[in-house]
Amino acid sequence: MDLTDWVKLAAFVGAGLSMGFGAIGPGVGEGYAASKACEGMGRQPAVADELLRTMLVGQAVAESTGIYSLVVALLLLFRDFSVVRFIEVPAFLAAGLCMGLGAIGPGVGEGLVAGSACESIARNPETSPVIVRTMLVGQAVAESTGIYSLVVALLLIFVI
Amino acid sequence: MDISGVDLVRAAALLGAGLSMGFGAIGPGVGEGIAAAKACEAIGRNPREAGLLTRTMLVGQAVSESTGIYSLVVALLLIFVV
Repeated sequence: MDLTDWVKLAAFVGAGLSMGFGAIGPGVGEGYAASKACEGMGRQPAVADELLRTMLVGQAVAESTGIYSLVVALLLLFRDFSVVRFIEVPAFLAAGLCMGLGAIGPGVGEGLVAGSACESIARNPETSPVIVRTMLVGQAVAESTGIYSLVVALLLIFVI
Repeated sequence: MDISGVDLVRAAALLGAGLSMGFGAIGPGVGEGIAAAKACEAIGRNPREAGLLTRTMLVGQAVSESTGIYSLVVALLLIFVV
């Protein structure tokens, strides 16, 4: 194997790590949100529309780190491998690990927020504007480490 | 290809950077999400305290965020300084 093969190997394994680990968090979180929305609708069918809307908004935010993982994986897969350096081997592996693992926490956390928001709206539908606002603020904070992971992964891919 | 000790040290530093930020992002993400989830629940039960709850949530999340920022700092140090 020459160096090009090693760099390709690292990029492809990195892409797998990024998308594989990165799918865990959003998957769990969005499922939790959906389960709470269903629970709420069962209890309060009158607010079904409000619950569906809140669930979808919350899930869209929880999905974001999954999309970052996809972007990092695609960047690694479709690189130009004509000029390679040894240091790209660890850098690509690390980029995949960083974005993949980093997507777990925000995905789960933001899903929990969306689920609780649905639960609360089902219990107290009049307060839904303030609950949605709190949900989005909380999710924005929980998103931050996902964005750090994306930044570090992009640094590892493009700056090294 | 020739790989010297210096290359390997640099390689290990970059792998360490990915591990640091990757694992380090899990905890704060989950923890801050739980805090926000409970804040939503409490506001649903007692909407008059929404201001107090939002403030408490943000303070708690800021503290929970700290380890994520440590991870970021260590990752950047490993990439650019070591």
